[in-house]
Amino acid sequence: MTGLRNPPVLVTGLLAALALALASPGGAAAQEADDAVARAIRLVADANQMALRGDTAAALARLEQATKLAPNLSDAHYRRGMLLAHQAGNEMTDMFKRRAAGAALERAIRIERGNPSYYLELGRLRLKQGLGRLGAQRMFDLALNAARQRGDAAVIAETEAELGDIYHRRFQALDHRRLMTNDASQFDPDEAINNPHYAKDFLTQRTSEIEDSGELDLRRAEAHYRSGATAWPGHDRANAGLLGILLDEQRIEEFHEQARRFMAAAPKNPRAQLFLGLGLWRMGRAAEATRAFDRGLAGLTPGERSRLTNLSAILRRSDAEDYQGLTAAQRAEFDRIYWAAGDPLRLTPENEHLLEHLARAAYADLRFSAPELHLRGWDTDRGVIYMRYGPPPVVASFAPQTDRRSTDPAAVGKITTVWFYPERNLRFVFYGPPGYNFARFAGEFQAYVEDTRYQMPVKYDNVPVNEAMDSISVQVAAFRGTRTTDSTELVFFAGLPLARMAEGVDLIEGPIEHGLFITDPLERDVKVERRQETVRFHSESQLEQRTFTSALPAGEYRFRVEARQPTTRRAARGANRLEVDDFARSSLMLSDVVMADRVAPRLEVPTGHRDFLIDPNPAMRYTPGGEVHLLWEMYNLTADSLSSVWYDAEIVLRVQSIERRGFAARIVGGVLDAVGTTAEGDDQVSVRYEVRETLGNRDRLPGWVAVDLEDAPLGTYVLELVITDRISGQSALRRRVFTVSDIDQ
Amino acid sequence: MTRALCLALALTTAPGPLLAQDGRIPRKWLMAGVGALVTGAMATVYALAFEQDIGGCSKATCVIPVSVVLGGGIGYMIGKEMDDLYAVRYSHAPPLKLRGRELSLTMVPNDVVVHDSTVLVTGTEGVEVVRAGPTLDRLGLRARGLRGIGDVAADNGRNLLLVGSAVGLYRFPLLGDDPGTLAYPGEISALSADGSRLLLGLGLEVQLARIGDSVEAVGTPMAEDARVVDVAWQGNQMAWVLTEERLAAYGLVGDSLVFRGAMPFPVLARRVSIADSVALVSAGSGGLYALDIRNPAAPAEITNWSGARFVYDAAMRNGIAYVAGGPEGLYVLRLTAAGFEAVGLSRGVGFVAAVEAGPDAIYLLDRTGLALRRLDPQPE
Repeated sequence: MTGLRNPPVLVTGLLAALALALASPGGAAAQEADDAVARAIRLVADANQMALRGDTAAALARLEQATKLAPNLSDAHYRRGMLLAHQAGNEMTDMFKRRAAGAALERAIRIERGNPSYYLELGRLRLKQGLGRLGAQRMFDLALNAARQRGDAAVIAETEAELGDIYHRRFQALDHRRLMTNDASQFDPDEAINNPHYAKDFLTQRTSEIEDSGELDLRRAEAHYRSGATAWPGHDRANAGLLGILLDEQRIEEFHEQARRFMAAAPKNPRAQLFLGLGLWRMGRAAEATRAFDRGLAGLTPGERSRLTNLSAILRRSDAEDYQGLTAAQRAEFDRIYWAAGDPLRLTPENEHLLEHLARAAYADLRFSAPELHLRGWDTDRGVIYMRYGPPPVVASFAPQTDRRSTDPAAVGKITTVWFYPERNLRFVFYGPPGYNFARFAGEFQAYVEDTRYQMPVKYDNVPVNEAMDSISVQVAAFRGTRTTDSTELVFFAGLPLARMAEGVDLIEGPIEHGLFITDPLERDVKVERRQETVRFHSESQLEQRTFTSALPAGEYRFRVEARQPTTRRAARGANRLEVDDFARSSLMLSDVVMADRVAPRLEVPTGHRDFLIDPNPAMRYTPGGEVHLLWEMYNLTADSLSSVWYDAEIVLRVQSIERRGFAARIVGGVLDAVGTTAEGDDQVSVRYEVRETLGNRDRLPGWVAVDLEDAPLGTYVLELVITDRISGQSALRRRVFTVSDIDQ
Repeated sequence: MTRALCLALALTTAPGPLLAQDGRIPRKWLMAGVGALVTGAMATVYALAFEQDIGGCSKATCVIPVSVVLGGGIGYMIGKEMDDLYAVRYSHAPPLKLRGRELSLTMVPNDVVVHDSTVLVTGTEGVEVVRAGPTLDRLGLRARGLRGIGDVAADNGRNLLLVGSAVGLYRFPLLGDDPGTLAYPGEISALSADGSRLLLGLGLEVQLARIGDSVEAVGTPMAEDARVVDVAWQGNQMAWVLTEERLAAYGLVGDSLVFRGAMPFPVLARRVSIADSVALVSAGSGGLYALDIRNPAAPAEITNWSGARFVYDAAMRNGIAYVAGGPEGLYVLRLTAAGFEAVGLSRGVGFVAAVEAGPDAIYLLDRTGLALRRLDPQPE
């Protein structure tokens, strides 16, 4: 950085001027002149302080005064020119400011020709001057030569970064360039919105890619950025420019090395850490990426950190508005809950979605920031889309339109850039002026973007863990806890897709991690159980069912069952909400009905579900002709004086959706041994039986039965179990939904 | 008009000074000539068709020379861009055309290892086993499903394929479809097999192991200050261990590794390749180092070449070094007493991410083109 932010330059200039003043010959006139110079120097120092405080108007007034007092004080002209230049934008209305700034800087150069900072600042001003942009490069060349002569590494790096930007902007104007073929004359953004096939068809059928387009400019940009980073290894812009090129060219090893070098040279620069994190994450080194991102976030100012971690861009608009209304503490809590709920795999120590979010933010900062326009990448249209949907698999750009009869006047003179996500058929079109790292949504795309945002606020399709993610079926059954606790005992029957996870894997066996994670609605851990075991990958006898148990008080929860093979990095998960109810101690109640492939008592007089061998059916999916085994517990049945209970059990099978009507069900086993009990119906069958049994000192009574669905057609069924206590007259009902399917789980 | 046309013609056909030193006609002159001819021809047609004078530069005597100059100027500028690009591309070595054969791969390749008559290509989907030779016969895909594959080693005699990964060392049959087994748990950052001996990089340590029915660690692991990225045997008694920071020599005494000496690097080292008494160290942006390793106690730098923007890998065969330059292509260098001398740069081989010298040819990986290429070696 130069100018007011560069005290050494200021001090040097002041000292030089002071020395000149002190070395001047005597005499009254000379003394007067010396006094004027000394006063001018003080004014410049004052102006510097004022500018640092943000009082630019007062600073300019002081500087103008200084230039009048000492017309040959180059530093005063330079600082005045720089302040005016910083105030001026590139709009037409700022023409006079730019002209005044240019005059001041040129005056400074005329007074002190060898000062590279003057040329650098004038070059930057030229970049804001339309056709004057062409002269910017010459100024930067002069600045570079002067800086090299002085050995000023900071200005060399800064100037190299400016030159790198010039060439890189030229390259960007040609990057991903496509030539329209056949009868195509322009890409129509409105058609891309209205016709879902247009973007794909247009790109594949009516355009051809131009290879190596703009390569010379890219190589020159890279050379300049690299020279800047060599002159000053910690220089932010030179490193950012170079890293952007390396990443876009998939030169990830180079990116990693350069990012490490940048970080080593500028350990306190949080951007260096964030860029390193981005590289490490893209290389699949999640743990190291997490550490780099953590360091980067810690190094940011609270304001910058808040902008980087702000979730507004990836929430629906209404949610984002609510989010913006939260206090800092509430937002931090919301962020924690959001990312905890979104973690694709709790089994890994890292949160892959959070890492991807930070990587996307770092990439947006790296590639879409435009310092000359005071834009940070994540605030730009392209940055926002990148944050939501990740790297676009297809990018195409078209030359600026020159036809003023174009359907969209805003497109005239602008490069049209198309981002296409084939898998979800998302397409985004941007217009941007050549030579600037800036583009805005084309046509009506802002509205399309909002629609898409509502349907799909964010997607992490490109995260590797999601690419190999399978699903786990989980059947949760709630039982009353023991006599001594009020909690409810939950049994999670999980079907790990071990066979599918092992498909195409050339290993006999390997480790598998699996676990149960239960959280409360605020995503605070209630239970975490992790297990590790070795499984045989292609064994027919490999059991896929795993059972977890947990005792929980009544309330709302979320649970996840996850499995992961570290060797193959394949994973699976099943997750759902969980509402846990209390079991009353007075009225008749039923546990959930366990749906299994087989249930058999281990004891002659079982006291509860623990006394059964259960081969669960986690997905509650049965093959046609299969047997459905049911197990449940009954609580608070009223016993008579002989400690016997007497109840009716009714099992109702009702069709929810089915291909053909008419089926039968027959009880083939269970505690009653009621083989032969058969019922038939069009869309519902009901089997009812009566039980008399001694309760003894048991606090619950288990029930179990096996149902042969016989010719039940493929479809979805509702099973209802109704228990009616003959003594108290109370009834209790439990319901399950299951499917009959010929598709393997 | 005639003079302008003659000039344009002369520009296109002029020999001698218009030829670059490497015999290439500078495109700026070529394109200037083409541009002048084309626009001159068009202007001539115009002049013949519209003979009347409508004012301005509408006469043939004006239109044709102006068009020729404009066309020549535009052609010159286009050609100059082409020349500049050529100069940037070949600033460190002249263009080189290499003959060879290509095998398309079904995965993104990471590394290539040549062992006797077998070429092993590691990648995202496993290890592709290919027969070394002119036909590049595909022998099968091993270690399917294994992720994070790093280094590999093979032993044809034992029908053994060892695959290092972030989870452990896996053992597969080199030929056949039998599944593999975990032979040694823990991260394997590098490995090299020599008969029954195995050198394993375990992150920050290096471990000697013996291959039998199982893989057994021998002796105590040797700690390094930086991550071990590559290992290589030299003869029976010497092992070279490349960390990100140095190349270290370890002698084999009984069943133990004994440190002999090391050569540090100022940049991150990536790969090492041993050829007789020379070690080639690919050091990324630090270029390519050639080290004299005749005295393991004091390996000495022979030369450093930094022509490529980033050296991904290198291999040496008959005094010729083949340097994987990533998107730049393959550099071919000759090692002389004065240092590396550039033979040429082949850009037609894609993104060269890895290169290995086989007994009969050079094998390299094109990462973006998803191909294994076998190149006929350059003459010494």
